[in-house]
Amino acid sequence: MRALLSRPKNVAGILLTSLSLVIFAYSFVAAHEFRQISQWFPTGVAAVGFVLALAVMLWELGIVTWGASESLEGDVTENDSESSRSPLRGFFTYMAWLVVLAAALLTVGAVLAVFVWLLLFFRFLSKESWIRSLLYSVAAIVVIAVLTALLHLFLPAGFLIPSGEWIPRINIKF
Amino acid sequence: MIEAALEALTALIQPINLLFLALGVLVGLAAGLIPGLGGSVGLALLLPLVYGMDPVPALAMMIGLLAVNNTSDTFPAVLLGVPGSAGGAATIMDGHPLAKQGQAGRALGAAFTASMFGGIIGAIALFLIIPVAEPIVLAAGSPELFMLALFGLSMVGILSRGRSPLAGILLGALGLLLSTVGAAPASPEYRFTFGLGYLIDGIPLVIVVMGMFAIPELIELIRRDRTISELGTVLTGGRFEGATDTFRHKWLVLRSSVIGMALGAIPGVGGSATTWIMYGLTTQSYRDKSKFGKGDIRGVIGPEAANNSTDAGHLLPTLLFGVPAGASMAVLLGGMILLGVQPGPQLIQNDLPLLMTIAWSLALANILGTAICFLLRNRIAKLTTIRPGRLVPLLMVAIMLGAFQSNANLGDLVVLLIVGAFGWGVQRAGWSRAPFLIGFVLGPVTERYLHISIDLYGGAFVGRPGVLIIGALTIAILVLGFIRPKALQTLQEPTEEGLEGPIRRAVRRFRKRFNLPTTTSIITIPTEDAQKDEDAVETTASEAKEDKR
Repeated sequence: MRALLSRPKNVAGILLTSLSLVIFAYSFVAAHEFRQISQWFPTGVAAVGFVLALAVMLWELGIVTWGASESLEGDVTENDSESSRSPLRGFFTYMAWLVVLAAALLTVGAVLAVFVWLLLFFRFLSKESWIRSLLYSVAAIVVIAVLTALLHLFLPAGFLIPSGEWIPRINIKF
Repeated sequence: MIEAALEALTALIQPINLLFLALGVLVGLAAGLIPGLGGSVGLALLLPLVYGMDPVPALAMMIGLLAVNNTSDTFPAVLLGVPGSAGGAATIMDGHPLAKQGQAGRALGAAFTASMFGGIIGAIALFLIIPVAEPIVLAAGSPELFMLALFGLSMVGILSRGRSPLAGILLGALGLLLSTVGAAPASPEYRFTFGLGYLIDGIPLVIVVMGMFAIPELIELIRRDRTISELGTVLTGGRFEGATDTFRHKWLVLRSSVIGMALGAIPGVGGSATTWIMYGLTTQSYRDKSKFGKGDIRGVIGPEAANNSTDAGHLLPTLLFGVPAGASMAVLLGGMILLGVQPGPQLIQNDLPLLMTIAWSLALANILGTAICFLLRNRIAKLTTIRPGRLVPLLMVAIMLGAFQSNANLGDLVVLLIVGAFGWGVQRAGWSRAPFLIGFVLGPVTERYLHISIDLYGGAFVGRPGVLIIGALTIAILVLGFIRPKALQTLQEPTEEGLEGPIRRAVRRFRKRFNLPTTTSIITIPTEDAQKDEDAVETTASEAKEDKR
């Protein structure tokens, strides 16, 4: 028992397995509301998935060790030192930046959002000079404009400043 | 067959199609060069562009990207001892020592030439196998295709990288379940939509691909924010000597290419496993083994030829049966579905020229990629000095705008971020992400074949000989996964997650196994001014110091 408790746990694995258990259990129950022909597949997958998730949970908790291809200890010690130092902090920082970009795209539209976001990202996260940040941001906007014109891409038009139609379409069929 | 091949070639050599092929090749070279990107992420970035495109240029672009991904990954492997992608890891063994001896140009020349011939031999084999495989493929009915989908899923789940084989299958099941969101195929109703209009058409594949692969990799890249190389790289001559070496070892090239293609055709056995196996075979097949691991050009040629022919092998199950052989093939399969092309028996039956276009694209992309690497080697090598901090924000914008192309809906961005967070979690857990994607791609196909099988044969479909054989194989693979995990470890994809750790582990394991020198070192490539300084080598100690810093 002591050995079990002292074993380093793969927290991400345990969390993911727990999430999988919930998803499979919910899907198994919810699938019974579908017509019979439509419920076979999701019900079967959910049932098998639930059993698998239970087995993985036992494995991740260290209760069983079959099929282990590499020890957890090995992974922990041999991981890239920097990436195992503060993974969550880095992840939340960059995810927050992505959320801000998504929000900006939907409020002020693609052109303005991308320009301002890139400028700030280059300056404050990538630690570039203001001039370089400005140059990179302008270059990115030019590339986006060219691709949009050529490939007829959709650009998010913001609620506040619709920008999707700023760029004329060039009709070339590929 | 020959008519179809000629028709395909005629279509492909149209300037616009060649332009897209070249675009794919350029993106593929760049993706192969930067550890963490690789074929899956590169293809994920291109996927939004293929919406509404004609299949020929779109396929040329996608195949062009995949074909040369393993060519440019040689640069960091030879010059810096860091592979650009999984397949480049074995090249370090002899390529990097050659670079330290001042023969980087020769090693690269040999690697490019061997890669090109590997790719071309793979493409020729693809041409030859299609007519042979045609009757077998067409004989497979819905029950067999259903079983093949399950087989592919179990194989990839077991073999792909991850600490537990079960976790791979679990993720495959999650992918299958996610694919059931939206309209049901067999009855007029919607499943798991929670009343949201956005989910009626299901979750777009592009978003799943980009969320699972691109976002976690980009976050890891920028979080570490380290360039591959600090100094600019200037490569002087030797490349033609390397090319001559390849011609001198033509049988090694041929053997490596054929074995690489054969191994690549097995779902789940990735380029990394193939190159390691080929390196092992190369070292064992010569009497004089003393130079291997210290800078033997044969140790570069063998793995590199196998590396590029593996792509042709990967394409076989993907195109003929619709069973992706790995993560990048799952993305390719998704791209083909976006184009309205359904891989599998229908492709052979109805669209043979398109299949031939893929084989031609593979051959042409390898030639083009090698030519670019030969001509622009110094410029390409300079790409290793780009800081992720400059590259990643641009790619993040590309991902967000690319995701928006799916439905032009707010939901696209929200789902992308959710799947991205999930993908990052999977990566941190040390699980492989490929089975999830393969489950998602194969889900609709599996369900459709299951319905057709039951409609046509009832429960008796499980008694068909083909189903029994494939079922037995599937069970054997699953059992093998649990009773022989150590043996399977050698067949895993160590760098699918794009981290250096597993590669270094694999290199160490391999060196130990074959009693090769055990020091892992990073070379600082001399600039033109410092060319005379042959000792510009940093050893593991300095690398460790840099890590600590």
